[in-house]
Amino acid sequence: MPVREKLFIRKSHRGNVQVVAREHYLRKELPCGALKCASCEKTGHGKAQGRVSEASVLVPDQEAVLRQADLIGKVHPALSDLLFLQSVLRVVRSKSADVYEQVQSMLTTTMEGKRAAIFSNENREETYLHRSHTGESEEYYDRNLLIAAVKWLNQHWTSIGMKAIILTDSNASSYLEEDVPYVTVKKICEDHHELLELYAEHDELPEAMDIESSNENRSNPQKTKRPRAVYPDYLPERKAKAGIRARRYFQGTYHPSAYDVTEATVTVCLEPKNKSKRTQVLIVGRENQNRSIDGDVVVIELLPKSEWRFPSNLAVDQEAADIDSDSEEAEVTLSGSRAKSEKLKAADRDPSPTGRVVAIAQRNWRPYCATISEKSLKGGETALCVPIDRSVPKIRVRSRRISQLIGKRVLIIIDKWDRTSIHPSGHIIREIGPSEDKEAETEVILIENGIPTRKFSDAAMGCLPVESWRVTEEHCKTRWDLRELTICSVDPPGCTDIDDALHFRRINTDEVEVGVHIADVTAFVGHGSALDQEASERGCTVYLVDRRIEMLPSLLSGNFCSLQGGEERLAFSAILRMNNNGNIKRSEFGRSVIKSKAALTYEMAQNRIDEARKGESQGKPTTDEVTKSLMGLAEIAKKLRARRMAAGALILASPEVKFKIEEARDEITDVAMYQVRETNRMVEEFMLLANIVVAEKMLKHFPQCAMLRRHPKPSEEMFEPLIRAAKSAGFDLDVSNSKRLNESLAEIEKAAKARGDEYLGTLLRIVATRSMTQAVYFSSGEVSDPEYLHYGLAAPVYTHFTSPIRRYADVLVHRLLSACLGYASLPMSLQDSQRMNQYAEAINQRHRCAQYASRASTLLHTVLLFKRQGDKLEEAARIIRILGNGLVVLVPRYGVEGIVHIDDDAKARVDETGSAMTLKDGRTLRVLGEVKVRIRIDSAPERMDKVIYELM
Amino acid sequence: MISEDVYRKVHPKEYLKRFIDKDVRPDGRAVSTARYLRLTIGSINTAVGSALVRLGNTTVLAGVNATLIRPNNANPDKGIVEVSVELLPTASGESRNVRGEEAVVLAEFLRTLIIPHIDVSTLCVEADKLVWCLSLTVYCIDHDGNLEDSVVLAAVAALRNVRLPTVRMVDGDEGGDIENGIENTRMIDADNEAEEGNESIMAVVSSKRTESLELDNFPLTVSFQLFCEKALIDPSAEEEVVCVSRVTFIMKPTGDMRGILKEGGHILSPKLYNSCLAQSKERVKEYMKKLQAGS
Amino acid sequence: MAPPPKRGRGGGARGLEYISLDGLRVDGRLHTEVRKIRCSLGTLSRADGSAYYEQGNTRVLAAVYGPREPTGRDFEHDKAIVKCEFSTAMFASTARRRTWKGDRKSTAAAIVVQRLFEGVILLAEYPRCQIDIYVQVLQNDGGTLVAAVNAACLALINAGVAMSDYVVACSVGYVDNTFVADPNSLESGSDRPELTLAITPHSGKICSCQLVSKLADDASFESAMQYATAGAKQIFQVLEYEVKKYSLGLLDSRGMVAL
Repeated sequence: MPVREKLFIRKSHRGNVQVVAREHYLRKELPCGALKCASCEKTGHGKAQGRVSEASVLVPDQEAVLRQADLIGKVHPALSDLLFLQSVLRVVRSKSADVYEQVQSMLTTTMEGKRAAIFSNENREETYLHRSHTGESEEYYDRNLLIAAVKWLNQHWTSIGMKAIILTDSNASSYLEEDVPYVTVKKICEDHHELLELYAEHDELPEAMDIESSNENRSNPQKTKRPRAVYPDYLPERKAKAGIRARRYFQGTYHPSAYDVTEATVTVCLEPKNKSKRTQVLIVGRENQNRSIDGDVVVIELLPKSEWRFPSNLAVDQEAADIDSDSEEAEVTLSGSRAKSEKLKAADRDPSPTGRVVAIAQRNWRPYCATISEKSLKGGETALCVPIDRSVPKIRVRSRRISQLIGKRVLIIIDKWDRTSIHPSGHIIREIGPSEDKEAETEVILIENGIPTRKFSDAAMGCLPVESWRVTEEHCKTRWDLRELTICSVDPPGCTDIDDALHFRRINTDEVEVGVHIADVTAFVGHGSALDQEASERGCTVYLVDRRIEMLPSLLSGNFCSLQGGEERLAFSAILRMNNNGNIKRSEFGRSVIKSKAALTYEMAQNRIDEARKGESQGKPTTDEVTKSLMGLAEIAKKLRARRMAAGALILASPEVKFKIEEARDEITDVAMYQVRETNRMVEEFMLLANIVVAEKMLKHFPQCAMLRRHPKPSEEMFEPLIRAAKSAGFDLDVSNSKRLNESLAEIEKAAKARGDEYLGTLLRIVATRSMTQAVYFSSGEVSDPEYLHYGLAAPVYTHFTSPIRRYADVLVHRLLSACLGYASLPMSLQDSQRMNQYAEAINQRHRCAQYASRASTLLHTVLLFKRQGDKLEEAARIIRILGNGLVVLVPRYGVEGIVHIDDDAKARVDETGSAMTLKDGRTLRVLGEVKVRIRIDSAPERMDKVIYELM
Repeated sequence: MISEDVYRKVHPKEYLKRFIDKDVRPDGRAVSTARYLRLTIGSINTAVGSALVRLGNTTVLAGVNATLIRPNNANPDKGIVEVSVELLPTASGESRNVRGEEAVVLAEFLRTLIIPHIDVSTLCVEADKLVWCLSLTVYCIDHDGNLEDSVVLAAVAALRNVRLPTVRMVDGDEGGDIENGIENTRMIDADNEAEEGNESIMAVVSSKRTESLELDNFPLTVSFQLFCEKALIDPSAEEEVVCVSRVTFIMKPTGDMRGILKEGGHILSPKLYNSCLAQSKERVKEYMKKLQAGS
Repeated sequence: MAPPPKRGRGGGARGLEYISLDGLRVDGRLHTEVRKIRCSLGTLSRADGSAYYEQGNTRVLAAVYGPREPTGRDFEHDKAIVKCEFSTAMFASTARRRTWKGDRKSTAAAIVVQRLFEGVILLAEYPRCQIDIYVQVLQNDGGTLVAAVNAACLALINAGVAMSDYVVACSVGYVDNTFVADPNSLESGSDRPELTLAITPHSGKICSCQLVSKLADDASFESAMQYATAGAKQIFQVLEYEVKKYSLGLLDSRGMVAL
């Protein structure tokens, strides 16, 4: 095998300039990709084993792959045979991991009517070109490689009657010069109109544009006027980077504000000395936002101090902010109303810095779910698409079928956003389904929240045990045999993935034994296995109203791991010896085999306890073992709970409601409040206890890499809205610590109930919950000890151990605990705190997505319910926040919240603290106050149905 | 009767004397014949400049590494050249201490000769901010005498072979120009996290290596061992062990003499001096021929 | 678990693709292939035995001095002692961190080479003697220990030291869930497992086996050993050919055979 040297110059971080020499082996036998070729090797060495067989084969160049990946991937007779060159794929991979993945799946899966092959031209002796060290640019070299490969292929294939044609999406002049056969993507689309909607528009190369415009010049002289630039130009990358170094520019991630799309924030570090201090910079107005989209990493420049301002408290959605025409009118009115609201601001705070986007460091564009706006359709083939995600601007798309797609949800992707165009332009990838269709809308929810809906891969399914798997004697020998214990599980009705079970045993008059038994998922899911990989990517089971997307295949989640009644199952048990007051004397952990005596629902368990208590009071002793055990547990749980409350645990609330689903029609008929029984609390109490004990154990053994969960203590500022809200209802709230907070919340609740306001307490708790940050997973090595605190539970350390079937964090905790107990060594990747923290961050991210998805699903179903109940829905609502131009209200009965817009005409003024609004008709609306709202559904096909709340 | 090999080991001086008396050296050379010189330039592709010298069996490898650093305060506009010589264990099989001592002597010898001829101000990218630091390392791989000449020649050849990437300081505002000016550039940053509040430095290094060192008028050396009133040019290891007195002629590339180095020992007669000088001039021509052929 | 990458259409993939879709490694080799090997014997004049050995871009020089009188105080009255020194040239490495003589890695490598050859050299043949093995890495592109062992073996043969068999080493890396024989510096990293195996090719015995980092759970040690053994056999063919060529050359120079 001949070898070539490839030399690079590399500069290390320390300033060392190194010449790097790499070997490059050339081979003779590599397959050329043609099925019929006799002279090359028949089978390749890698995963891509496809072969091309048609007489003419398209060889896409890098521009074609990068820009037109969706089109190239389409199964179509004009694109049936594709040969990808190694040199092209190398560039594609370095430019876009997503597109590369697309090509990868094209190469590794077999599709009817589509053949894709790979040709490793850079390692094939005949097609390798040596790159001289002083001259040509990379692009020139890559292009030459392509030309050389195609020329050779055509020569190589003459005997078998095949022809290689370059598929290009750019200026083809160099191919013309070199006299290699080529075809442009555009030409193919023009010949096959059905492909046109997938064609991604892009900038033509300047030369090509000149030719075009000169042609137009002759026919229509007016058209040559260059379109007006709407946005400022971006700085060149180098200049931007230089500016960042010189601290003239700053880099951060762009996030539009949730209420007002004309306003966005970028969190940056303004002081180099204090790296942990981050400042939120406001980016106001379209011009300053300069074509940024949610999640983009942008480079910003600060505006002069005179232009700094307060964040807006207006509710402006894309619709209002959008300007379809070129008129500036809307902009003017917007800034007008803003000016008014500005005056309302409290003057005791400093204004936030503002800035403008000067460059984009990295785009975060993903495929968006959207609907074609009928309004924008003016007979042609182009239309504006309205993304479901409100923070994403409308996207211009072009499709022949555009009129058929109206009212349907489509998946689109942004191709580019020119400075001359108000909206970005993109193309449709696929149709999802009609809007208002439950299936389609649910799919939209899943896509928008990045929840994987694909089936488990074959590799992952291959990790499962056989269907006939049973607990064997071998298991019983190596684990604690707890089959004789009276273990039972208590869960919501219809629960199939039972991950916890409990037992209670009295040891003597002073001591009791409580066992918390958790499904032993790690016995089935080995670290690093394909199944583990897949579960970790899913992160948690996602619960929607009418379905759930499971983290583990149902064979495990619903069967082998589920601690069903009467079945022998593998478990991870925590055996806690405690005295009658619930003080733990000794805790032991171990793998076990259990046999649950009963799988109860909360209701069933509660009934058993209630009946037994009634019986005992009448002097009938309880004989049933399970019930006895339940009663013991309930007793201890009460004490545990009391102690936890005394330590300062918070009782939080969420406005969630339960749907009553009529199974036959698969329709929701009504909603109900969650009923919390004693048994719910009992199970919760023991889960919390087990989690805390495990967290302590884990932290002792792995102080640097324990997977913990913390809930940071909210700052004074964060409580401000809560205190103000309470004040406007006439109460003082003590937030000095969690214990005081909980107590004063309870006091208020009591006082309000006395006044006949049943809901105020819950409402305040909802607001309190909102003012805190969410609890997050983290690695113990990344955070200092005092910050381990779980504020809400008032626990110094906490983790999640009890639901490994539906949370990946628990799976990791099980592995850590196994390592503590010496069952297995800790995998390398779990020993490193930073790696562990990466896991934690990823899981947090997945949890957030799951939460958003499940909320969106609830909303979807609520809307469906509202629709069915007709237009005349009037409900009592509570105000939770007052904005400059509206109210945020919560409808307790349905657990939904929304914005009531109040026109300037109706509104008189908002008081200085923002806790009351006076209307023109004399009514004063206060935070937490009750208002009657009319609920109606505004269904426009181009977006999700919107719930409109109107003040009555 | 003892065999030749044993005699050679036991009475090395007598052994050599018998040869020299007949104007022949143990390896078959005449007194005034130097060994065959082989010079390979640029053989180590991971160094910015390198050269391999083989003088008979003596093998010496020189390589240059380059680093971008902040200049020291005393000479803000001057680059830095570090010179070191290592005597590898493969060369002599002697212990580390012995080798270390010899290497230090050689390094000092090389440093005093080479450093004055490098214009360190050409190694400055921007005064006060960024300069090149070149480290020249010479490895003696096989030691069969006359390391001095080999080391100097290898060092000179390696330095002449140095090709540095073009570096330009980038100020924020001219970033755009550079982008268009040089292809295949990459951004680097030479600032250390530790440096407090200093303005950070950015430079652009092109992947083309074009900049060569200006190294005219470099020194070349020709060494002789004095033995029995005779001067043995280019002594082998065996001869070096026996003889004590050594003369090194420092020459210019043109063939003129620049200096002479002699540390005591036998007296050098004018006649011998003249003959040595003439031989040195011839030898330098040979060096130059190889140097020019190699580059 | 790779945290789910959140990237847009614009973001390029990070890191290298170690095995291409066509099954080729970064430098174009197949996963079972070792790099190109070049070597020569007797390259140094002073040493009793020496060899220059190239495995791809990894280049080493080995010299053997001895059997000779012990240079230090240590000796064994009934057998020879083996000493080894291992050092790396300043400009040898393309890796970020340099290694030099006396650092931890070099010392560890020196000890491996020393122990290895203590087991193969017929030490009893040389009582009260010392055999010094010096290995100099001139250029490092991964697998220096492998190159050191192979070069030292050639140098010992060149020195005429009696050995029971050749010693041939080969390493196996693990990238993208596949074993790769003879990884180069790109393919071997501190966080990746690497197995270095030295065998005596004729008897097939294992002289030394070093596993850096831990093998992934689904990667079997046996298949790693198979890869290493197969790689070592490829290398052995080259070494044996070179030794035969060199020996015939010697015989020829003494007029004992006609080539």
